[in-house]
Amino acid sequence: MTDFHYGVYGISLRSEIPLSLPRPQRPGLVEIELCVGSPAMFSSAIRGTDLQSRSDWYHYAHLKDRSSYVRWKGLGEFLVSSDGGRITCTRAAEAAMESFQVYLLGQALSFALVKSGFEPLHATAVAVDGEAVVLLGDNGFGKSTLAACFLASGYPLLTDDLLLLQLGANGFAAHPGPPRIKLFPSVARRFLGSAAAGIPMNSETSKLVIPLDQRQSCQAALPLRAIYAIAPPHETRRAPHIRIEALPMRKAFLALVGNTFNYVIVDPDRLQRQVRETTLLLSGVPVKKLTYPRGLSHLPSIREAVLVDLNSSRCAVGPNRPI
Amino acid sequence: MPQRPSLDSRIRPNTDALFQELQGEAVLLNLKTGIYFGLDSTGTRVWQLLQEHERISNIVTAMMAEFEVTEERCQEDLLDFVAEMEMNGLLIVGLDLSK
Repeated sequence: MTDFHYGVYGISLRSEIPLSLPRPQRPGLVEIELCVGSPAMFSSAIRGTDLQSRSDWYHYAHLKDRSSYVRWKGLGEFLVSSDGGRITCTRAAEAAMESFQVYLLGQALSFALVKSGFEPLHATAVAVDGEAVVLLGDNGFGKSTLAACFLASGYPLLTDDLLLLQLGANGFAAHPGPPRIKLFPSVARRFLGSAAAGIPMNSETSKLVIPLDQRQSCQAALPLRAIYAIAPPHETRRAPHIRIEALPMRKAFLALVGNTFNYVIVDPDRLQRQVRETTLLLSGVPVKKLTYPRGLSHLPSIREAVLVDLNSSRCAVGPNRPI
Repeated sequence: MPQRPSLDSRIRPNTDALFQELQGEAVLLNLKTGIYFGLDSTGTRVWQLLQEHERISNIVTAMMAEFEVTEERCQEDLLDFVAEMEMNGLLIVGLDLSK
């Protein structure tokens, strides 16, 4: 019995548990059911299975019936059905609900999205003049921090961390994620002044989950304008200036697949689809590398540089640019 | 440990290798491992040629006709390329390619 109905990333989520998400505005691209499972059910599902791990606290397994099992120690367990239509979950007693939701609506949901035929990206996006500007990059590259700087200037957040794109008749649309942003306290204080309203994400990081109101977040999908791949910290540390450069297709392709949200599902069908969809995305959207010196004080200049770049590329292409 | 390929070696792309050309460059994906490799324009041309020619020496000849490069350098670079592609499961090298 699913009592709650939400819309997130363009999908419809029917849940047995209440979540901090908006109601669906329109029918979802796909419907995913969220159920609560018992500890016995999870134990039974993975009995005799060798779990794989990427760290001490993250374990997963692809089960014989093609479902996937994921667990974060001290946070919760998830079982995603083979077709991605159902996520069964249980929250660890010691986990805060907000923290649990971050993993449910990020990592765990990414399994369901990939199994449902989508290719979620590890990216944060903000709305600029009604279009989505995407910041691509691994953990620690500064996606959310730069997005917070945009937020401070009145540019709403579209999504933080997981981005779902969908190709439609008018080009790619970027769908809104949960109305929250994950920030380190110092960043939150500097740009939002709302550190006190944040809830600790988990015991592994000092990041806070900060809810955003309707003015600070987008509720509807936006046309995709551009993707900026943030340079890795070892490059940005030495960067003397802000630099924005168009990436050649090969490098843009590798940047996009390198920032898939789910790198655990690697069956040939999924990989072939990833190649197909990435190639399609590259044919319609510019991908640029954004290199800049680290430090909060630089961020307003970086934001302005991105805005100038967006304006200049719009002028160069003209108002009727094909998407 | 596979032997280093020679000019007489015969090669063919592994069926697990997925090639996607991107404006004169390309990416290769090993569908078994999920690992991607980028190819610059020269690597992309080599990959195209090795689908037309089975023997490495024939690819050298084709490359010499297209690029300004000494034969020695061309052979050396091509053998390195083939060895790397083989090591990553993207090429099959050997006399018997019927497997």
